Amino acid sequence: MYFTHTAAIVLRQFYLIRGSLSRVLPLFVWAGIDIVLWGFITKYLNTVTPSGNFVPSLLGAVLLWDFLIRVMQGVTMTFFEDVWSRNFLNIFATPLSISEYLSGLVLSSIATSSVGLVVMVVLATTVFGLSFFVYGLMLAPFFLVLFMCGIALGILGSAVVLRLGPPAEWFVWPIPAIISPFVGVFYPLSTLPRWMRYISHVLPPSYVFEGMRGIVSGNSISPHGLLWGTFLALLYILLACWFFTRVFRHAASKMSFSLAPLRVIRATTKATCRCGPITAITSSTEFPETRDAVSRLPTIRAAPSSIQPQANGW
Amino acid sequence: MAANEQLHCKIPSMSKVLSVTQLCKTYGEIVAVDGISFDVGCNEIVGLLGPNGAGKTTTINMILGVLAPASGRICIEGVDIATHRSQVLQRTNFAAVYAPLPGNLTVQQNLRVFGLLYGVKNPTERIEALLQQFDLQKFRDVKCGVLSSGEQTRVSLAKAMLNSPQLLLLDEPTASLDPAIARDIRSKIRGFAAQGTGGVLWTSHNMYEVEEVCDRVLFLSRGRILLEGDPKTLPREHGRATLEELFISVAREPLTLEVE
Repeated sequence: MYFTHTAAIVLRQFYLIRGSLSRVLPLFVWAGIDIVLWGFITKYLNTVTPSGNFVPSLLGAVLLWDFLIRVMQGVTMTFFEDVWSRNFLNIFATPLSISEYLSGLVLSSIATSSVGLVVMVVLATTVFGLSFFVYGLMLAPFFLVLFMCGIALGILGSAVVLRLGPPAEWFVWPIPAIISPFVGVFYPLSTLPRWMRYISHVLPPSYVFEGMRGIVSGNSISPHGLLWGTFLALLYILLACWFFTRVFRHAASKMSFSLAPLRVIRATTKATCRCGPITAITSSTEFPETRDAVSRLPTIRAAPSSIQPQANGW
Repeated sequence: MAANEQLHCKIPSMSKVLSVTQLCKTYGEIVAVDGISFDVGCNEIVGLLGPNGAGKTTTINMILGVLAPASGRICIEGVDIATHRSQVLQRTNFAAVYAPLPGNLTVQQNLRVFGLLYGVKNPTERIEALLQQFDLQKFRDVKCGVLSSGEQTRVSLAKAMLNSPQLLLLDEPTASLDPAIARDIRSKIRGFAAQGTGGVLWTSHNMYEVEEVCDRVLFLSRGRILLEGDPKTLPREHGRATLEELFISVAREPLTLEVE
């Protein structure tokens, strides 16, 4: 494994972010807005419930959950840059290995999610009085589990898009929202019905939020639970990497990278005569709807031999 | 036969940059590449010709390691790409009209990123030399996406030369260039093949260009190599006046030529 190969992925992401305000702002704006919104909600709840302090449990939970989302998006966004710029042929025809590529995604995610985390921490502590001393040393394993879980979800999401193509992005973005009810970000797992709790037990963030609430309420937390959560997160990273590798190899064997650019491979037209038909060796594209549209054109006859679905470069 | 094939890869032949042996690729029942074998020697430019869908790009993608063959073997400088992918690709590079570099990075940024990926030593000096060689200095800080197609092709060629590859794969490298720049690029690639110890596999539909540049051509049709030889003498050997006529014959009536 060569560090320079991994560094190339990070450098590419750095160049992209440095030169684009639309890439810089999302690193921290939405996370900051979340903290501000939930900061005021907790302030309000503190006024209507004088005996309670919702800042460490509610605002702390928002911060931790947003951190997981930032980590996941850090991985997927770096991957999507290759999807959007149709760069797979260039990048995978280099000596870059899959593990180096995935390491590059993870390192990029560490850098980008750190920006969001710093902004959230600064806002939550200075404006809303969140103190991390409440959590003590347990804060480190909390962040570690959430980080690993975010990485696993990011790699899984990237694999899904690699397998199904760019429209599958819309399966990836809602993943955190889908799992959030099961991990009990804002409420104890005991609130959930039994069947949902079964799912919670295999989701590592559940142990983080249960642990966090345990600390805030002054109860002791089970180190076994957090260890189990760490083990699960590590297992999910390994499974996500395995899945990504499987999908990659499948794509390489079938050339079914639906991420392939909407490209015209070759368009050769030959006008035979004024009264005769215009014969065209149609443009071959990986997008069936475009190919179908081309084949429906009245003056163009598709030449089947020229169309090699999934057979050409990505 | 099997023993011969093994030797083919195990003995690194200094005169062969690329050895392709019994390469096959199928998609379901469709045979895209049907057991082709060929070599590219040092200082040699080999033209891979054929009609659309003949299997040229599929072959190039397999040589680049981005498409897994159904069977067969590809060795670059005697090293099998199936088992030593990274090592082999370190010494290989390519440019293709359908694979422009990311348009959201500048020319220099793209070359830096690919310089790291190919492990180029002294990348700053190498990039400067390539910017000069391909007349790209004034586009150094311009995003590739706003360059003309001809300029993008030159950037792709500069990327292809970054690691001074032993095997250079060019898929219609001059397709979008004006004749003056195309001639310049051809002379640069001829210079590349003549000076070092590398070889070039070149696909093109411009038969005049192929005749001018290539030392040897392979005619591919329906995934099989039908003809092989010197582009200057091959048409006469098959009763055609020009390489273009021969190409059209191969494209229209490959079976006739197979019988010949």
